[in-house]
Amino acid sequence: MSKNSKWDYSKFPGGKKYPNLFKPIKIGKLTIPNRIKYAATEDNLNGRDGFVTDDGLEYIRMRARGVVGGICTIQGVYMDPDGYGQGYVGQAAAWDDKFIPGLKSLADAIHDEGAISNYQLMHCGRVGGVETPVCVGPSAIPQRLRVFRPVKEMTKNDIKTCIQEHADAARRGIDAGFQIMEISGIVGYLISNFLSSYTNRRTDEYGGDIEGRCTFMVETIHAVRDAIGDDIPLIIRLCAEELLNDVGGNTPEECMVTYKKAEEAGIDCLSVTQGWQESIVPVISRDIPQGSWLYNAKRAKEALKIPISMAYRLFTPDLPDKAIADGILDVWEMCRPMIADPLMPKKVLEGCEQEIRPCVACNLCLARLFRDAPMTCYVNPVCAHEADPDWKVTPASMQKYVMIVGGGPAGLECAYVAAQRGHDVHLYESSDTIGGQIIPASKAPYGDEELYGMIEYHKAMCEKAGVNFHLGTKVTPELIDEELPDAVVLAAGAEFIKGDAKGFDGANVICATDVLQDKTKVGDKVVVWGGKKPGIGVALYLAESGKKVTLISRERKVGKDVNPSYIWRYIKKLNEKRVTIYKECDLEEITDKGVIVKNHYSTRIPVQADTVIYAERTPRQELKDTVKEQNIELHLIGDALVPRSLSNALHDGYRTGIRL
Amino acid sequence: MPIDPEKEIRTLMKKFEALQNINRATWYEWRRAAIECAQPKFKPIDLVLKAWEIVGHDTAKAYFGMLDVSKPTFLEDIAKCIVMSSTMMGETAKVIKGENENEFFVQWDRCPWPEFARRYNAPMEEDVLGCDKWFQTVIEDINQLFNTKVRLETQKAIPRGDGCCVRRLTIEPTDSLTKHKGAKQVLGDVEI
Repeated sequence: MSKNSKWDYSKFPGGKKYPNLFKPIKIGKLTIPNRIKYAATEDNLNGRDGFVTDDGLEYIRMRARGVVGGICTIQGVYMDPDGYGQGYVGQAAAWDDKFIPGLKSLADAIHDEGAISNYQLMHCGRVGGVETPVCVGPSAIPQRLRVFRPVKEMTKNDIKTCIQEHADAARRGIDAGFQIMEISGIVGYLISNFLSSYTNRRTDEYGGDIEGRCTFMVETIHAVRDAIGDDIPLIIRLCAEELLNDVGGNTPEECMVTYKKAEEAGIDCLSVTQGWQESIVPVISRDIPQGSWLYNAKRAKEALKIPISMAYRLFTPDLPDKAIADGILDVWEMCRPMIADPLMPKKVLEGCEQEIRPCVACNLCLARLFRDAPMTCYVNPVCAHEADPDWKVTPASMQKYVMIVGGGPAGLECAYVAAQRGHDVHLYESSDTIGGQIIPASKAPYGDEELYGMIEYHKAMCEKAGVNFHLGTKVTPELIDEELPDAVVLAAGAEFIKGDAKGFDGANVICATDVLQDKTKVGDKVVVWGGKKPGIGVALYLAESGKKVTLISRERKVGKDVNPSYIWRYIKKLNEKRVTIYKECDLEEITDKGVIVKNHYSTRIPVQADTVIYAERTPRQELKDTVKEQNIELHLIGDALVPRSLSNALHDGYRTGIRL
Repeated sequence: MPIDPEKEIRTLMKKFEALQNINRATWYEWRRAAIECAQPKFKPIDLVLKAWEIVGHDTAKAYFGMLDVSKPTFLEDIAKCIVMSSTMMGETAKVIKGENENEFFVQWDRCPWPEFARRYNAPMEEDVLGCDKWFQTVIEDINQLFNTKVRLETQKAIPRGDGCCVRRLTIEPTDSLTKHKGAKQVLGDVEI
């Protein structure tokens, strides 16, 4: 009996509902109990010297638990002592035997959870050298993104050394006890640099046509195979489409050649991806519909004999289950859904899908990595704090009657966490539905409807934890006097406010949330006042329906509250929809024919408009003094503290919930 | 033609803001160049050319996002980028089509730079060589990134006494120009 043969999924609801996900598959000579793979995910949780830390260890342990016997991949390791292959300051290293004990602790943690351990080799190439003045690649092609370093062309000697470093690092992975070996060749990392006509202009045997450009990959596969032997399955991740037409990257047909060459070289499984970090089209954010990229898995299945796995916009189990049944996919791979909820597949298996914390595909995780910060998740406050006892939900030392004012994301998050700890939690919401600002926000176009999933998650979690809901009940000072709770959490959110300009009291001035919920009529020429996420959402919503929209931002940037890895998508859409943007401007006057916009150096601009929408917010704190006067424990969270993003609301809610 | 005051002002503001940023960037570009070049008996022209080379690299980076090698208008778009930069700096410039799609000209009918050179007692030829260095650096970087063979040649220069500046842009056919010709990036039912 192998350690993985304990899995019998047939008795679980998920095993019956998704039979294709929970059936075994053979990769090379190894049988995997199910079709689930946690994909390699950089987390910046290791030391800057490349050693594994407790934070990184507990992070991976949770994901290993989540895959319920499937494959759990550690983040890609860099393999050279100079650090040219290092793309992230907290990336794990494997350039010396001294790293083996740390790597072994990762493998052991994965095995302790009954999962199959997968070890990834990742030389970051063109996006590497995070601690060095230059990075390396096949050719010295300039960078388009300023965050990356200039590229130094590798000599043939450099290439030979690099291949040997792959083999040596692979051997260390096996010594550490890993069961599968994986090579990363995606998104702009070194192997993809050699494969692409965009970044490989060499004229020697490592360049030229697509066959020549595959040489480095093929030699690396051979070297790694020699190092690990025939019994260890070998996986490679490669792009099916680079999405780099604008700079002369590979065609999809050339990409398929790389797939075939990898299979011929002895790969046992291929992970299909698309796009580079330099691609100028969205690939993994929520504006891309779920399942959109499955056609590339199908292309790979048709071209190759080995199993095909795929991540990227496959966030719900129904899609991969059907894809496997249809014969276009073999393994469901994911990282971000399991950053958001490490136990996601386990919950699927146990029939608790409503308890899955949904990833909203915002890419905050990526944004943090590129700013040399530890990973953070927009919706999962515990992410990267798995090892910290202060972040765990533990029983309260004394049960309290907790009154939560407001049924938005901050209040809901706080409510179920506090209830899980044993508090008597009563959540009051003045309207008759929970969700707060997520409800209008999820009406905005380009995938924002996925935000609504948070409400469903919170509803399930609150009900399970025994939160008492008081919907349609406005909390007044009298109610607080009457109930005398031990603690009050003010999570009443923010209210949309009108500005000081003359004319804000006009009949043509309306609120952003009323527009998003179709509660009011809007003219054809619209001015939106407020350049943060609510303003962007309503501007796109109206522009999508053909309105002429002008967006006024008082800030220097539009979408200051949107994370940097996502905002460019909104800006792109605003530009495509010809939304006129004024930054560092405010409204001076509103009339029934339009507005006067005034910029920070006092230029006044007339803008025609028949409707003006206000999308600026101020915190709702009117009960604060009442609670203080009563000497009741008070917590201000979410937008009621300062209007910010959904992420801030959730993190505030969780942190307050565990400390009440 | 009726004037759209909103559009006029918006365009003006955009240009003004860009100019402010260029102004600031220029200061630092010059500072870098001076640090790199300052040594006993150094020649001012070396400093000027070094500075324009640094500016050229930064300009090229700004152009990268506006160019797409898979589009048939690639060369014309480079010419348009140059005109855009020039007009932002207060010059009057336009794109003129050549004999075929592989040839475009940029013509400057007005340029305030020689006047400034005169004001600060700098040689006129330095102005021409500086401009050339800037454009050649931009073109070199474009060729490197897009794997193309674009050439730029200065045919007339106001500082040399010509009535206008004229630069000829040509391109040789390469694989990168043709490999994605006509291809549309399609995602499911959505064109992206």
